[in-house]
Amino acid sequence: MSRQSLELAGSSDLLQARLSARTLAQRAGLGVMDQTRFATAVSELCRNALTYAGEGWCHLTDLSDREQVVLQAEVEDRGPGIADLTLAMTDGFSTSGSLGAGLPGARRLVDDFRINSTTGGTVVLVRIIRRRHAA
Amino acid sequence: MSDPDHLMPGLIQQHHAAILDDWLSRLAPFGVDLVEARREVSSLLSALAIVLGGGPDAALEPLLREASQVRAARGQAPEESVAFVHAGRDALLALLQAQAPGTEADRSAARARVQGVLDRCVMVLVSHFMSTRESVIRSQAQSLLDMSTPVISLWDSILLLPLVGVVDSMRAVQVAERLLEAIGRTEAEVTLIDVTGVPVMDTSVARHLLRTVAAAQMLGTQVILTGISPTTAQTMVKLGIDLSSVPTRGSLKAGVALALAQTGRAVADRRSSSGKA
Amino acid sequence: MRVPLLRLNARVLIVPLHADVSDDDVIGFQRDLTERVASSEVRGVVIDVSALDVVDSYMARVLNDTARMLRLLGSSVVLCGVQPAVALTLVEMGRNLVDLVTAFNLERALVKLDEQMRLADPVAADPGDADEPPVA
Repeated sequence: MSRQSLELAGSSDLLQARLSARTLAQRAGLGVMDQTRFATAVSELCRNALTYAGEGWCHLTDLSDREQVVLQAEVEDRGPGIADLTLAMTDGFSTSGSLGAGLPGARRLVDDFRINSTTGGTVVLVRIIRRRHAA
Repeated sequence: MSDPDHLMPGLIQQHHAAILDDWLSRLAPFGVDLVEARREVSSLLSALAIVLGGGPDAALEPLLREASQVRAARGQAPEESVAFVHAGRDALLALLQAQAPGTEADRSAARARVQGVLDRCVMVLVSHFMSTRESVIRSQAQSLLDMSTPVISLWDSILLLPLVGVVDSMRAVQVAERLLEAIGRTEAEVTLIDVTGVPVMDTSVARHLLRTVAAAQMLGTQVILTGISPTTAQTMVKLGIDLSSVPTRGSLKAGVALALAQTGRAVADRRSSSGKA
Repeated sequence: MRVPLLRLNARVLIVPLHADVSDDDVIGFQRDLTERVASSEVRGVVIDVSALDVVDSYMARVLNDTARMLRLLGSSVVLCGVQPAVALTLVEMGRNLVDLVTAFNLERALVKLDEQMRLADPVAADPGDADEPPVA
């Protein structure tokens, strides 16, 4: 189990987060398609934190075992929080470009999606899970 | 007075060769290659001495894992692995009975320890065996899937994907990934997606199909859908599926003709005096 | 790093987005490109995204919006080089690229652009970038 933490302070950190996510996925043995899904989901989550909290942390962890590849991304910020989570997770809301935008899209790319948002901050946790095949 | 931790290791050290012979002779009925087995059994015996002396099971793990992988790869039944371990157990117990070191209490404790450790060996061996076999089955399933998702190149710039048995989401995604990789690699001008082989066109399958079409178009290929039956057409209309951006043809033949036309070609019948598209 | 607007000829621009393009670069690209088209004879733009291995919903929106703006300003637009994994991820997210003519690579994009430009303005003088008639 390996964990990487990236501080989010500016838009160059978004690039770093995407790159780190892709590298983690690649090293875990996932193909290009899944690497892209993971990197894109991470991009969405980190962008959200940066846009609406101006800061945040992105924690990438490889939770894989012999049976399956499990990649986790956890993005947290201490921003104003998403006032109405249910609303934010609907598509019409998200395309308006406001807080939470990109989250429903990210959700469709991953297998596990958990969000906890209060006025003290937001934590979004996502996982991609793939069963292994013997070579 | 012998100390339980030293009883079995002591016995094994003294009678290593005899135990080996006994263990192997019990394996003979199974048609095992005794020369190969001798090496394997000898290593196991040394590791067993450690564990039976109170050492950690980890001393045995790698050997057991290798033993089970070798057997699984050979396609042996799991019963053979169990028999292999039981032969060792029986050989050790027989020695304990014959040599009768220490008190009855000591021997009783030693017997219990042998049973316990060797039972754990059986469990480890069988579970490794099962997961190796499961991996093999999964990879065979994957190969089957690969074989049943052909992406066919018709001429230089036309790809044909016959959608066969797309029945669940996972399969639909696999098919989409393969198709898009092929399109990207070949830079096909036209991609024919034939849905004749799709048993049921329900909302889920239709949604996946639309997504695959949209992604393919995003790469720059022109998509033609073929093999839409009257039933499928009815279902699609009822589900409100909008395929207005995609040319469709009832038969693959008609689809191929259109694809050829779009790439500046036509099929000519050389047998007749006049050319026929 | 600023996104370059490469001049193929008086009427056609080629705009390659580089792999590590930042959000600021992207906003700059949209602004520079629209200003350039509005103030010049440019009537055709190829946007090359072959270096992008991740296109998230923000970038997708910028691309869609930019294309719409360019069309409003009287220019044709062709997008080239979308990677297969990027295309699949976008449709899975539900963030398709909308109403954009696409091509595999720059060469084919220029052919399609030529067609688009002719469609948009059949009476105009030779676009200048095609020495041979467009090939399907």
